[in-house]
Amino acid sequence: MTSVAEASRETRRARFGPGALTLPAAFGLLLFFAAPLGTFFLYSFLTNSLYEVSRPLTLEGYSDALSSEVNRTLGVNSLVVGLCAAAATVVIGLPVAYWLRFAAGRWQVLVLFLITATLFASYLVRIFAWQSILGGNGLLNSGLRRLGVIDEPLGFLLYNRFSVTVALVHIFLPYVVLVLYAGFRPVSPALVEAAQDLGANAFTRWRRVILPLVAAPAVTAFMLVFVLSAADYVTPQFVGGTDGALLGVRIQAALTGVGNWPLGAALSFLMLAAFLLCYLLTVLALRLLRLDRIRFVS
Amino acid sequence: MTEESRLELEGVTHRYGTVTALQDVSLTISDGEFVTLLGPSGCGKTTLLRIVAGFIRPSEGRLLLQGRDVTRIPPHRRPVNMVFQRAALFPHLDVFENVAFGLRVSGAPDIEARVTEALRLVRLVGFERRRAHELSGGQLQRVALARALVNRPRVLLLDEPLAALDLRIRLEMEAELRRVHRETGATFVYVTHDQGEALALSDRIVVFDQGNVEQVGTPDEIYRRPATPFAARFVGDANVLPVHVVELSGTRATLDLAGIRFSAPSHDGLAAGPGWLVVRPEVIRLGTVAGDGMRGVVRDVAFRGSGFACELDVEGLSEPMKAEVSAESGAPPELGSAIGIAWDSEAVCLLSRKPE
Amino acid sequence: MSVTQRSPITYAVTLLALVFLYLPLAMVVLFSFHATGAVSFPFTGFSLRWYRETLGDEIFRSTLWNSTVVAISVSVVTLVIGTMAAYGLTRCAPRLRAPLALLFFLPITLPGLFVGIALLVYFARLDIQLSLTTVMIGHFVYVFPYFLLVAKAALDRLDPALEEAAADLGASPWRIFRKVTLPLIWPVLAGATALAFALSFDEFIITFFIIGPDSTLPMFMYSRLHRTVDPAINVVSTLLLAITLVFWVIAFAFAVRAARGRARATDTLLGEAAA
Repeated sequence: MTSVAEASRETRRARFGPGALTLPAAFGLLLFFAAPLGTFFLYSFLTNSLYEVSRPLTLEGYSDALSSEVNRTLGVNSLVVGLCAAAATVVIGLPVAYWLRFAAGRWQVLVLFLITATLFASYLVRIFAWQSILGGNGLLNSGLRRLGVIDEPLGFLLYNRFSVTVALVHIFLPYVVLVLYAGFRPVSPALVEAAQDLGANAFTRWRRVILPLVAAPAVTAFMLVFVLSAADYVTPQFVGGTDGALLGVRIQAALTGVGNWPLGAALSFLMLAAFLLCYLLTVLALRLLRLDRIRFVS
Repeated sequence: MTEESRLELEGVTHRYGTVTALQDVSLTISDGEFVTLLGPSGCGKTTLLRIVAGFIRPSEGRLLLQGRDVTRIPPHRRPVNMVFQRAALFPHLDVFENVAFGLRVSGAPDIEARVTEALRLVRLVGFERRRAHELSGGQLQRVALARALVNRPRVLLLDEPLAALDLRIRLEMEAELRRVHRETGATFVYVTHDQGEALALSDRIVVFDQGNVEQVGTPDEIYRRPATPFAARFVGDANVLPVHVVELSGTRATLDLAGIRFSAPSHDGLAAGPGWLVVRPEVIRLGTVAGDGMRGVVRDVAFRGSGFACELDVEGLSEPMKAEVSAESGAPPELGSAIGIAWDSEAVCLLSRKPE
Repeated sequence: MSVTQRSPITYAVTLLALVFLYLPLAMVVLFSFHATGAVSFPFTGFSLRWYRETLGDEIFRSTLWNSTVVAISVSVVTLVIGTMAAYGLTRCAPRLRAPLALLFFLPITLPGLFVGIALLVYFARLDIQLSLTTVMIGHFVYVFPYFLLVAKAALDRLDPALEEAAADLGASPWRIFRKVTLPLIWPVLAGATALAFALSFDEFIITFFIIGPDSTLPMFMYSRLHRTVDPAINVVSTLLLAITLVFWVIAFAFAVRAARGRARATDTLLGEAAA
């Protein structure tokens, strides 16, 4: 329900410039995004012909995907790692976004810049960095040994789901801070003060006022990290080992290694279906709690 | 009179970096009073209010509530509640939950009854399920008022609550505030830059300028006997005329204004020498030019509904004078005409001028 | 005016988060100067040896060149198409907005893995050879939504009264765009282009699937990562960090400048519209 002022603004804008300007972009994306995905979806129903597909239509791809024990384990792994990474980044990101919005003062721009600067620290560089840090002869272990804290290297640091999660948190934390900060922007400091004034201590303020108000962006950030983490195929390759292997690696192998395209396609779309389901569940949850569309009064 | 709500400020000073927002402010507010902190933007009134609320800890000084030092107590533990400038209603809660918020936090037992009572007080029964974005400006402020009062605070703080409202709603809300104050008997500390609101609402007004208290008094006292030129100009319209006090005898003073002798009431603290004469526009009587009286030329006339606001160029004065002519006294003076200026010598106020 | 609250816990978390984010990267940079080439303590001494070796490496230089060419091409194309799309999206009929927005922003939500393999399969079906061009296409799909996000936000912030005033003074839509809209949003567009460059330069996830014989810098790094002890990785990493940092600073500077300059710019511009 838009106000009169908002509606009038939108109509005013509509007069200038035709929507035809969007055509090149629309064309480009339809041709190189929608069409490829559509084709790929189709391929999940075709027969494997080693780096090719052929008729007849079949559900072999899907049955292969679902019947394999390995796939199921990897699927569960991906789910767990995705959830942990998402939870960790949001739990860390919330206080940071709060600080930036309400307590940063003149430091806001600088810290925001510093955090977002790491966004463009190359993805591969970060994976490599964690591999170096957590490895048996890596920085953490060699440092601790030099300091005499431990004698033998800590094996549990690397090549498991923990290390994959840590690396993923490192990769996605800046995104999450950005999304959460954007979510905090419309929250006026007066709301936090009003909560204080009405007797709420810090815990109560977070529980009753702050978290509900940023629930929607927080869920968005959570889903973003969850989806991107669960589908990651590079991080597990270098820091995951066997315990930390994720489904993405299998999908990639199916496409480029084994050459079983229908299987790869089937796995992909099963994953996407799972993501969609999770997304719908969160939307439903938000709607039930009436936290999905909060209208801030300026 | 109980001492329950006595609020005392002792030597409160506050600085933001090198800027002093409040300079040594001391004030006592009694139980059930409606006190307004009045002043222009940046004068420190809002800072003082926020110190009482607990959002700012003063650089120096103490705050006492019922004799107890609460300076260091955080806002959520003070028996004080605030109505924020733009209501600050929680957008994710409906009206009922907004009003009930403080009660839920403190675990009060009879929430439903108390919320209904508070909504009845502000005449918004039936609005329980509405949300903030569905309310008008005036309704928002009434809910904010209910949300604060439902907790039965010792002191209610109001931070320019009417500033964002249209004129007509503002006037209606003024009446609401007066009524609520009467019905609850709570102590109200009100901040505004609008002198009309201050005059209409307050038991006492504290006039602020640049962190200093210019004057404390009832609306009548401040209007009729302003203590400083600032107070005179800020509260109501005023002509503040430079005069020379020639003679003081008992209750009267003789002064020289642009070469003409006038008489004015005297009071303690006046001395011979330079001074200011405060003449409110409505006490000026305009008429035919008298021989030895003050004279001027009508420079501008504006219709104001209940009367005419006139601007006059006066011989011997560098600033124009403002006069108010009521609509009942007939036609307004003509633009450009010469006019005689007079006033009731009892209805003016004489102030000492501090040496430059 | 918002009086900032003191909040020691969130301050501490922010500080720790910054350390967490930067420490690993700082380590990589530090060890690119390590004399022995091993990435472990003790730190034996500084040396530029690995830099000299890597920069002299023919393959490294060619992949650097390829990445630059691809990134520049993608940025330019995205700038043009993206600005048009942003403009069109904010000014088209309200009915079209939702479906267009869906098409434009969906790629962000989809993991690169799926985009990459879908394109791989698609190019195979269409018998298109994998090359730097296919890489550029993939990068465009990846980068476009980010650019659009920024450009659209800038256009949304623009006061419609400015363009209305220009029209009232007799300017045609094209003139309005040139003389009123563009001067106001060009810093944001420049920043978004820098962003596009940085994103493309560093892209790996999609590139992996649709790359041909010519390689990009991230692919070079990937191939080296498979070798366990290769000091070149640190060097390449540091160089990659430096390059993308430069572009991020540029993008950020433009964003800050855009936020400040808006108010002043409007006064002088309306005079131009009627000229």
